Amino acid sequence: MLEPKVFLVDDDSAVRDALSMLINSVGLNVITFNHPQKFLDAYNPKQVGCLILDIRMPGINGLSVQEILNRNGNQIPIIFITGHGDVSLCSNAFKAGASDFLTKPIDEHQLLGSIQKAIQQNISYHQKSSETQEIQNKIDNLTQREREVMSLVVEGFPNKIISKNLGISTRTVETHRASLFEKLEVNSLAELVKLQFTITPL
Amino acid sequence: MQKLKGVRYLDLNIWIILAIWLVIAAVALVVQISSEINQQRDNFEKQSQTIFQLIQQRIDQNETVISGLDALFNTFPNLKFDDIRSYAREMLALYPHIYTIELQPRVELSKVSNFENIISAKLNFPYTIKDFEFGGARHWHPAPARPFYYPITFMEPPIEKASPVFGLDVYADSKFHEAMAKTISTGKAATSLPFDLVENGRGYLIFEAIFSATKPVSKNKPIIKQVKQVVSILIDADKFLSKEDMPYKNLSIHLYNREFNRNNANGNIIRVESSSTPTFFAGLLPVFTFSRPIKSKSQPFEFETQRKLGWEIIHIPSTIFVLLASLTITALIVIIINQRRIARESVNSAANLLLIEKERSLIRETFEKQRRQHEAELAHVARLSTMGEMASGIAHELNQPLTAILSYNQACIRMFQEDQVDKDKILQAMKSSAAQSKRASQIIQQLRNFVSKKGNPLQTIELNQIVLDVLILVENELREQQIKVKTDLDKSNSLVTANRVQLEQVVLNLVLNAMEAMKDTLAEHKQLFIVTRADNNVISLSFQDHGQGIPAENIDQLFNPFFTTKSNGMGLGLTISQTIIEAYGGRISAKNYSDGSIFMFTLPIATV
Repeated sequence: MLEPKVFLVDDDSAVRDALSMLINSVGLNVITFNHPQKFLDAYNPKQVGCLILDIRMPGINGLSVQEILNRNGNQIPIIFITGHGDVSLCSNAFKAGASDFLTKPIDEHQLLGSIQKAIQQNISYHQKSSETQEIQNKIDNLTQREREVMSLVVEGFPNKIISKNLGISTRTVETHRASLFEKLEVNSLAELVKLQFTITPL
Repeated sequence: MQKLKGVRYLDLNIWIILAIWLVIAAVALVVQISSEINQQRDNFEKQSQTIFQLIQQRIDQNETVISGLDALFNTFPNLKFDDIRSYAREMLALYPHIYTIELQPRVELSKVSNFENIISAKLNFPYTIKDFEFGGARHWHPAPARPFYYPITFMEPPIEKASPVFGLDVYADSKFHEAMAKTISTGKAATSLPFDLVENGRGYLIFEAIFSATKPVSKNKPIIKQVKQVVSILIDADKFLSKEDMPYKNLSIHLYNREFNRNNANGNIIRVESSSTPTFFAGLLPVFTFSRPIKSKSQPFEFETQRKLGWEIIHIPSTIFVLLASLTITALIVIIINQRRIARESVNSAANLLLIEKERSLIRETFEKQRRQHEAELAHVARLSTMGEMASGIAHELNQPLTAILSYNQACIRMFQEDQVDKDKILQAMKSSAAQSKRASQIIQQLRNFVSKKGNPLQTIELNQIVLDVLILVENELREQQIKVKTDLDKSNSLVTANRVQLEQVVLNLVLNAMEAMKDTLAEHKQLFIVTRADNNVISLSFQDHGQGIPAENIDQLFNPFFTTKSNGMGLGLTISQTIIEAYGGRISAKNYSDGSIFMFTLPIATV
């Protein structure tokens, strides 16, 4: 799952063959499909990688595929390629979240650069998502009281105020505070705040 | 909706509602009345039984008294009047329905005057044996000579009004003769026929003969009994039942002597008619009857009661309840019927709404589809009808091999720089790259041919090749529209003398028309079948599509200038094609077949 893979969908067999050879030559794993549906059927969201997608193909066009992937919440970065001068399609593709848009004949530097960027993006997304999951698990481990204390601590309230607010003794507040710091594996208020930020982005 | 409901309740249904209520009420009332009738029947039976027993009791009492008197006289043959009187008074006190107790001694003719004297002295007034003439004069007169008489000598109580009867020969009186004779001969009590009493009312006499035993002359001869006197009690039948015994005013009671027919008023002992007012519906109701014979040896009576039902069978509170209950039930039924009708209607209207909705959405869908098709058609036509679009198509076509060539080469460069050089892979890449270059050059060639401005030189050309060239040119479009192309090109000969470009124009036009014809065909049916045939001196080329076919009215106009079925076409394609073909000595035609249309043209084979 973590070994990055490049998915390539184009209806022209020569283009598929040539491009995959090129991408292989930089040591990346390529899987080709002559039809988007075949890709959709084979795709596993846990797989780290990116998708190179021809925008105009008989029967189904690349933007529709992007729409399907977006609807399913798939985060795989898409690099569109086209043999037509599809300027309007280009802007639509980017608006819908495309990673890049390249015209044929494809410049190798542009292609490989896009691929790298896309894969990096995907890796950090997966990392972040598992990170987020880890943090969320830790937070779920807290008791109700600990969570209440935490939310007031990150706001910057001192223990005295917290104890007044929650109607418990300062000693109890200190106990909760120590416990939640330990459970969340943070050593300082700054770390706690950062952790909070990670899971609840602005 | 409220208003609508109201209308529903109040229109033609009001009569049906009324009818339903009437039916239910009628049924309920019938049930109620039937049970009431049964109740009344039971009451009637009980009452009748009670009264019967009462009368039976009286009858028995009568028998007791008469046998008591019989026993008294047999025990004390020479009882004095005063003693008899005191006994009688006791009896009379006990039994109010016994009117009088009388004595009728037997008087032989020979002893009459003597007898009369003795009795006159006893009673202190002139006493004669007499008869009463009922018919005619209605008066007393002395009895004529008869063998014997049974005159009344004693009466207790001595009723003033009845004093004239003293001396009446009861035996001779037509009313009493039969009973007297019976008791004299049988020695048992006998009842007279009923008659009207002097003081109103109905009554009858019970006679019992008292015998004196004559001592037998000799031991062997039987004892001859001889009647000494007849004792009688007069029964006032009206006193059988007191007012307290008779609270039932709707009961009619009939006690009569069995020797008479029930309808014969002469036999009536008690005849009490019901005092309740008859009702108009009495005829519909059952009449209760009770009939039983009185058990008595001396008094052969028949007891009957009758009851005609009247208003009492209708119990007002129950009836009101029944009417209200049936009204409620009717209301419920009406509501249920209405609910079901409304439900049915709302289902109907819901179904209708659904149907209308379905229709609407169907129309919308069809419209949408048509619009999209139209757009696609427009787009398609716009793309194909201009040279610019054709060029764009060609440009894209060129781009594919170019992309491949570039990537192959760049891959090779990288692969060469690896530590471990994969020679086979590089070789493969370079071969593919070269092939793609050839592909590209072919396309260029077609393009050149297509846009050639070098006039129209005649060439000897292969028709088959032209077909292939044109197919490459529209490769992209064919693929986009998912049209499968099948070719059957006669390899024996396809040489013609014509201008290449022009022929390509014709072939292209026909191919484009075929594609246009199949734009609505299902993808799996989209097939273009191209056939060339060399036959004698002529080569024919046909394009068979699986499209919508040519409408009958258009077939004749197909090749006319400016005739087009496309919204965005000039209508010159086929006209120009025809001009070109005919210029080279050929013929072009079109026809329909079962699954689409076939366009074909012929050209003379080139003579080398």
